[in-house]
Formats: sequence, C-alpha cells, structure tokens
Amino acid sequence: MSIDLLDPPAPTMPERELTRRRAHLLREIEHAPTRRPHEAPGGGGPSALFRRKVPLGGVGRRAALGVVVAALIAVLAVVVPQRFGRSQMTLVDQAIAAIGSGPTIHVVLDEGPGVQLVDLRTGKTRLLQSGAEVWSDPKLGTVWVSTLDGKRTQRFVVPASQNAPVFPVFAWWRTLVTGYRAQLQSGAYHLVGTGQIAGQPVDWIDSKPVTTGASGKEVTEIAISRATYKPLYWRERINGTIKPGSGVRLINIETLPRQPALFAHPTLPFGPGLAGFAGSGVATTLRDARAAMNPDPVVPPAQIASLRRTWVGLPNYLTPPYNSYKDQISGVALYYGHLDQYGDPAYQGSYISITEFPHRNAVVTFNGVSLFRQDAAIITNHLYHIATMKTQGLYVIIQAGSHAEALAAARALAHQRG
Amino acid sequence: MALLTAVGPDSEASPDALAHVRLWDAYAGAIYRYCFRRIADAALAEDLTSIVFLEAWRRRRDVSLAPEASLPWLYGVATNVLRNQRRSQRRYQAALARLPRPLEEPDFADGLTDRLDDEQQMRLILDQLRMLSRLEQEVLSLCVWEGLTPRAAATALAVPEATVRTRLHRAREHLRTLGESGADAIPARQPDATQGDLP
Repeated sequence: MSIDLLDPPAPTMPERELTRRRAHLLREIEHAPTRRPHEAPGGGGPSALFRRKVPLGGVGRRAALGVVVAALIAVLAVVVPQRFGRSQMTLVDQAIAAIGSGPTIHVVLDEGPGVQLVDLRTGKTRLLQSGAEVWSDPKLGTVWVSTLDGKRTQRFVVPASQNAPVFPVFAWWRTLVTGYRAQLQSGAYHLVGTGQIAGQPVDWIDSKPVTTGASGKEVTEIAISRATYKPLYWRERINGTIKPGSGVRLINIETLPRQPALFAHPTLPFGPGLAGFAGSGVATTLRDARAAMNPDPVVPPAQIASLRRTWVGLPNYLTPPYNSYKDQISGVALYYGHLDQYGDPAYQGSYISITEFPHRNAVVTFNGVSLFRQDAAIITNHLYHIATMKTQGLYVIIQAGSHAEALAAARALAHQRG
Repeated sequence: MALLTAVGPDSEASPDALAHVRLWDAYAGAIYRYCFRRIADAALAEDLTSIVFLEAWRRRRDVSLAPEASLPWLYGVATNVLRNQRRSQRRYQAALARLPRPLEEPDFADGLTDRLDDEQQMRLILDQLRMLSRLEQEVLSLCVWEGLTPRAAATALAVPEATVRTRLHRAREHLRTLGESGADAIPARQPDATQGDLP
C-alpha cells in the first residue's frame, strides 16, 4: 500500500453517530447540578459529571462548608437589610424606577452564537451571534426585530389584538415585556440573594410561586444589576429546578414614550405553532418551472448525499393575509427523499427540501429565516436544519433532516452552473 | 433566533449548553478527523471526540473566546486529551457509559471496509512519523493535515508561534530523510490562512 504522509485519510464520523453523540453531549452537560440564585448562569464550578467519586476529606469538608454557610448567613444578615434600608427606596422600587414609566417597553436580548455561516467556496465556518429587539405597547402592539451577526434579519409588526396568539411560546414575554413593571409594583418579587452575571454584581429577585396543574410550582427569577437596577438575566425555576432553556440574557430594558409610527404597517409572521414553511404543494415539472421562472431555477444533480430527487413542485408558501393561500408565489420546490403514502414529500428522516425564489421579498416576508449571502450557507439547527443562501440570482431555502444534508444541498447548489 | 425555530428539543437547553452543542455541530467533524489521524482508530476517535467536547464544557469558564477562535481552542483541548488519553478515558468512563445504544445497528457492509482501509493507511503513516518528536508530530498534524496557520496552531498547543514555525521546519527536515515523501512535498508556504485562523 502506497502512503502519502501529507495526505492522510480524512474519514467522517457517520451521521447517525454524530447525532447520537450530540444528544449524549447535550444530556451530559445539562446534568450540571441546579445553580443557586447567587451563582452566575453557566458557572458554579464543576458539574456532577466531573466530580470525584470519593469526596475529599468528608468531615473536614463538612466543617469547612459549615463555616462558609455561617459566614454567608452573617454577611447576608448585614448586607440585605442595608440594601433595603440604605435609602427610602427598596430594591424593587429602584428596579421600577430604572425602566421608567413610558407606555412602550423596549427590550434587547442577546441569544449568543446560534447560527453557523459556511463559506461554500472555502469551507470556512463561523458562528454568528443572534439576538432580538422588541418594542411592545399595550395599545399599539409589538415590533419584533431579529438580528444575526449584527444585521437585521427579520422585522414584523403585530397589532395589539394579535399579541397573545403570536407570542405564547416565549415565557419571558409575560414577565418581562407585558408584565414586568406591573408585577414589580404589585409586590410579586422579593430579594433572595446576590451574585454576578458576566462579572456584574447582581441581586436575584424571585416571583411568588405560581402553582400550575401541569408542571408544579413555577418561580420566575430575575438578576437585577446593582449598578443600574435593570434586569440582566431572566429564567424560570420549576419545583426548585431551573427550567432548561429558560434563561434569557438582557442587554437593555427600558420604557419609552408612545411612538405610533413605529407600529405602523403590521406585517405578521408565521404563528409559532406552524410546523415550518415547507409543506408539500402543487406538483409541477422542471420544464414548467423553467418556463415560469426568471431567472431559471438552479437544478442540482438528481442525487444529493445519497438521496434521490423524488418530487418537484411549486413553493407552498403562505401569502397575505398570513393565514391563507391566496396567491401562488413564483418559484420551485425540489424534494429529495421518501414520499408519503399520498406521493407527497414526507419531510421525515433523511431528506432535503430546496425551495428557490426569484424575489427576495417572497422569502423575507413569509419566513423566519431571511438572511442570504452569495455562495454561503447560513445554517440553523434549532428544531429544523434550515439553510439559506443566494446563488445565480435566486434566493434559496433548504430544509433537511440533518445539518450534513443541508450543507450537502447548499454545496450542490453552489457548484451547479447554468 | 427566528420565530420558526424557537421551539423544539434544543430550545429546552440552557443558553450555555445550546452554545456548546452549536460548537459540536460546527466542529465535531474536524475534531473527529484530527483524533482519528493521531490514533488511527475510528471507534476510539469517536469516543475521544465526545471526551473533547465534555472536557471543553468543563473548561469553558477558563477561556474567553471570539467564535472564530473556538476551533483552535478545541484542537488544543483535543491535543491534551490525546496526550493524556488513558486519564481522559478514565475520567469520562462513567459519562461514556451513559451513551445510549443506537436504536438500530447500521449496515457496515460498505463502511466497514473503508474504515479498515483508512485505519491501516493511517497506522502506516503514524509509523513513519515516529521519528519526529511529539511536538513536531502535533505541529505537523495541525498545520499540514488540518490546515491551521502557525498562529492558530500556537494557540492550540499553548506555545509561541515561533516555536511552531521552528518545529514545522524541523519536521520538514526530518521528513526529508524519508525520501520521496520528504520536504519537497511539504508546502513551504504558510498553510491555508482561511482555516482555523485567529481573528
């Protein structure tokens, strides 16, 4: 066997193994012990996963722990009354004053690196920061702006009458956007401890427990900056355990004067309950798609990542108003993978769905993903593996059963010429 | 985060955990390839890849990284895991034991042959490289095989950039003695600056 020292084999981990180990990783790192309110999110030292099996010096550690606990109690006994008694304003009063008294609340969130950018020419990848900015007014509605890599990717305006059906998925919405000031004023929160968030000293306040039949006692915890008295972090605790994924990091929260112009021209997004944008639509042929589209569709090979093209159709996108199929959007949908019993795309297991649009507006208005880069795929892995890209004048959305399949489809499109 | 993707299994995870599995999504393939090329054992490389990301999670508070610097750092964690393979495996034995069995066994008919070929070829390459010091092997694998710049490799190995350049030169000199696979075949230019570079 001849060998090349400079070009060793480059095997890839099987996709199912990647998926299995990813799920295992997530489960293992989420097994970290519950943090107390005085600990910063994600901090708190080694998790149970990494602890030694045999405790070091049982009696000595217990004794030391006792001393530390006693000291903490002593410090809290001195510090907490001081914080409430230092001035006539309590911490909660300060928190109310910090966000002002305007009718419109404005919240800026940092959601961290959550989306991957893949340069299809060089293979270089980069994680993009994602975030959100929200203005909410009980009379005017809500303006929602999503950002990716510092650029606006999505903006929609929801009338006040639609707030409830559009945003129930966000638990923080109820306590930070629509109810924060009212709940502070009603005495729903009390001080439970101190800590740090991103190096900034904070006081943790907890809401009164709310008992729900489904999940038990729910408590909302908010970290209030000691410098600005504004919330820096928000999370939920259920039956004493922090609810996974509930944490939200706050860049800013404030109230503003009413600005009707900001809420003009409502543009509704999909409802969060809608399971994606790529349902099966009206079947067509590549010839008809070419005749209808300008520029022509980019048609990658009949097989991508061992999946064969099994269906060609018109893009099945919702059009205004957002709950009807009023008009057919120009474009083409290509599906690779198994079809269901009716001969429609199954969108399950291994599959690739490619939808191409000649106009950006069709995509921007009706999808949650709306950042397109020339010959670069922007891939999300939240619930669906979705990639967006721009190639040969077309705006493309790929939905796939896995990250690798989404990437393979993006590469196939980028390398397809003419 | 887009509304459409705001629900689902991953969204139940904490922000830190979510950010960490995103690193997995982005770099598990590269780390697996690096591990395989250092040990020539595909199954063990899979376990070591898991260990690298568990260890990276444990050490996530030790570093403050720009996203672009994550890959060199992960290569560094992987290098340490590979250096202390037995200790790392012992440390994460319990965690790996919790790895669930696959729901269905894959069909190895084709893949197994390729995997064995790769392992055999890799073992031969590693045999040839035994004449190099450990650091020279690490620099060679990071800069030549994985395409890191000397600067990124220096970050991964926690050594000065000049040391990386020196060791790369020495590795080239050593490989010259191996004949046709020698220095001429090793790129004298810097490796591809687009991969694994620091911001």
